[in-house]
Amino acid sequence: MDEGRFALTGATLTGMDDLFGVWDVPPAAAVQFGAPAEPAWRVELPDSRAEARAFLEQKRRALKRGEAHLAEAERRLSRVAAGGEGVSFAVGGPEAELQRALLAMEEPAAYAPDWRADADRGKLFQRWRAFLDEVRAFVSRYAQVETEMAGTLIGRTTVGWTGDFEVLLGPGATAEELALHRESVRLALQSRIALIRLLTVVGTGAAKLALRLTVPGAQLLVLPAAWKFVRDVLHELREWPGRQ
Amino acid sequence: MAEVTLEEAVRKFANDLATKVDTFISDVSELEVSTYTTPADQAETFIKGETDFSQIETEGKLALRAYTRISFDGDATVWVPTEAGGAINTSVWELHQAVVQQSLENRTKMIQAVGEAAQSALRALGLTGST
Repeated sequence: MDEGRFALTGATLTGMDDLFGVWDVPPAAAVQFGAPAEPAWRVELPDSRAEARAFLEQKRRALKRGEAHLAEAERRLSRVAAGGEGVSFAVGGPEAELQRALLAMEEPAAYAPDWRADADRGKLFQRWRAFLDEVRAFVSRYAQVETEMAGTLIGRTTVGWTGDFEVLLGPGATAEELALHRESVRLALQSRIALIRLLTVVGTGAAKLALRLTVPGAQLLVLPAAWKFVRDVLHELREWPGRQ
Repeated sequence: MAEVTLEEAVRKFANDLATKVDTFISDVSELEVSTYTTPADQAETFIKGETDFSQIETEGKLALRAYTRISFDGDATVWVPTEAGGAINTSVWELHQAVVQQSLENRTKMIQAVGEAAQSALRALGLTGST
């Protein structure tokens, strides 16, 4: 089976290069000056229809699995926020890392270095900020999805912020090929919604975690740690699916 | 200080989403779906690069084949594609109808997702309750 490709251009998503295992996002260094300002998904399907269907089915399953993993990350974040009863704090695991971050926030400065000045935490803050800015820009623009098969355009759809659709049907594209394009559009838009949902999970989880903390502005300060936790859990579940 | 810039980032995010929700409220009352075809000899134009639908349509490279505008006060405008003899082009029409359904579903999901994200950002700013 020749390989298909589901690439996202016009956007970089710091720390989320393999979001839900659906997109191929070019590394930031590969983003060229003059690249399209609007996020665009370019879906290159395998040449045969059967393989193209199988490719999109594989992406659909990856997205569904990613959504389930996000729901699991939300549950695990809530358990930590609720006090950690029954939570595994295995060394190096996401819960242990989060717990360590929460404790560090609460430690008096006299006994611990300023955790905000810590190089790793500073980097995490910067990455979280960058991610937030990128998602804000990402969801504010038009989205364009184009589908190619055997090097030929079979459909291009532009979706406005409020949901207006403009669809260009490729010349000679068959009904079956157009159905493949529609599925590409559905996957792209659904994965964008999953990304927005990830932010909701982080924000809601951070608000719950903040209830455990006495440091002023805790709900803001804990956001990067909550984001890292969700990313770590997603990564863990992708690498070790049996843990779910 | 890191926490100040972080707050600014979250505030900007929440403000932008709130603005988007506002936009939804004013623009959501109408949904437009346009379906175009292009002649084969123009296809190369679209293979690499961005599509500016309005410009290309003006230049005559695209043909608007079906159009639906749904106003949520109950009005709907539908242009149905027909062949030279007046018969409906069923393949374009069926595709267009499927896209209209897809756009309605997408809009519903986006409104819900953006609303929830804005609410969680406001929680992080301490501007709403935490549950």
